[in-house]
Amino acid sequence: MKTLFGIIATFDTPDAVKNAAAYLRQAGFRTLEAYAPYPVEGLGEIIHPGPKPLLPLLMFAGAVFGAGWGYWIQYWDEALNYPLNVGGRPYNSWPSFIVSAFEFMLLVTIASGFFGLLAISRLPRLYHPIFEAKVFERASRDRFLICVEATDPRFDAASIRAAFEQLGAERIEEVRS
Amino acid sequence: MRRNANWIELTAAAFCMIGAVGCVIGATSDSTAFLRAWLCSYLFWLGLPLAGVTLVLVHDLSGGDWMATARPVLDAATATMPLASLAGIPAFVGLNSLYAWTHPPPDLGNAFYLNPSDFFLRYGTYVALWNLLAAFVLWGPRRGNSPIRSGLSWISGVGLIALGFSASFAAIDWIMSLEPTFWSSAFTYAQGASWFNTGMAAVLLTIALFEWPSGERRQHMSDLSKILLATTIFWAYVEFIQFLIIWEENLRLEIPWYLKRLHPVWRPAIYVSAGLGFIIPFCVLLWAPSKRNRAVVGTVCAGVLVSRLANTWLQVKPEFTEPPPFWLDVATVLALGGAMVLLFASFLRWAHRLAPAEAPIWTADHG
Repeated sequence: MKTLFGIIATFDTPDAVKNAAAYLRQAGFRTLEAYAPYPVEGLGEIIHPGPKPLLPLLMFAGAVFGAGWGYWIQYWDEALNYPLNVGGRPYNSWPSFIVSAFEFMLLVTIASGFFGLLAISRLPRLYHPIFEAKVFERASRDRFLICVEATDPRFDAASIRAAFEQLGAERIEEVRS
Repeated sequence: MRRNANWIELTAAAFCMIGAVGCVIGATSDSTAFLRAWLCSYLFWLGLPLAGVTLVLVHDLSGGDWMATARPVLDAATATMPLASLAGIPAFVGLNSLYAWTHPPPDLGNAFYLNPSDFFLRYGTYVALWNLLAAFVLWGPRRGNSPIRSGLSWISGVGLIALGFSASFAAIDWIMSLEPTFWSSAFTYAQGASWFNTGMAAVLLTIALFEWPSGERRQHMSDLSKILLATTIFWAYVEFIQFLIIWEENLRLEIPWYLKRLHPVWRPAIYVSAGLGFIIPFCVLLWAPSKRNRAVVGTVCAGVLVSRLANTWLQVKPEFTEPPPFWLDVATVLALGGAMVLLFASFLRWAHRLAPAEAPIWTADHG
């Protein structure tokens, strides 16, 4: 017997799925996720409200680290390791160092944003239980899906099914994996 | 601007009077020092109408909801153009005291450009062009957040190009020619950005003080602050890249420009210009919530204004072996600034009366 992953419902308009998401949040469900063929404005904010500082903070830390590191390797090389008189400029020629430090900051910031986003999204991931839902392929075509997962503390298959029906879902399906 | 308070005009008039007294004392005791101080004041205040014209013309081509909040203040800034552009006359009557090229050494190669008659011809052209563009901004058929009719938007495009070139040549004529042998292709960009930042900071400060929008329109302040953030970054970038190139080249014709400005006397001006004009706006406005905070935006913009004044002094004053005394600098800034603010505030109040009552910007609710 496969274990129950969640209950998924399809809606045919973005407004309907936003409405359903808002209703489910209101009813106290927290472990839910929506799937849509294109980004629906405001849907993410309904399902995961509040500030999400993790990625910005990670990128800011990357920026500070990158700028410091970029400056340090130049300072270490030009002023400490192999001091060389270039046209009478000081060994610690900060105006020249800033350009490379800035570029290095960009590199580390963008890299931490890219890999941080992958890590937070738990990507790359080749299998997800939601793939077991028969209706799931419609999420990349013409339907808006919302799934309440069984790990939700308030999960109750019958009441969720009733709620989906009341919200005007087209099809409702149990996802087992 | 609240309907029943005209203390702003009264204060501006009072500052204008105090400054004017200082100017008279300065001009009678040392006319050369007065001309030099007035040039700085003129260059500083010119940023207000130039930024107003620029942003309205850009909006004609780009569109954007933020104009609904910015339009009345930008219009008021543009309305100061006649005063601001003609305020150069008191400085330029004494051209000999300002520019070394008026009595050039025989080997000055660019005398075909830097000579008094051509200088005045160009000054007249800038004044005429800028006032025409200001008239187009004030009386062109546009309203609220909608840009000009598409049939007329070509004027905005051509006008922006003309404005860019004329402001660049004005920066060369008025500031860069203080050192007639100095040349830097980045200079005009830096001065243009500096002028724009002056006006933009003044406009945002006005909105923060008197017109802070509520509700949906709060997003406009975020957009407008983003514009200021972008142009302060641009200014810092161009200013720094010019310094970096000249510092690395270390050429005899170019490096004196910076050697004069790196003298310890001008260090405070450098710190204020870079600190309040780039580092603080950058670090503060980068953070999204601060762009919607009235006190934060107002404080940052006041800082940017101070930094632009310091920057103007830093550009002009080190070129003189005898820079004008500080009190005279302040007096000229107050004299012209009082008149500018008086005009700006009166226009804003007049526009306020014309605005339809249902326009939410004019309600007293500041959330």
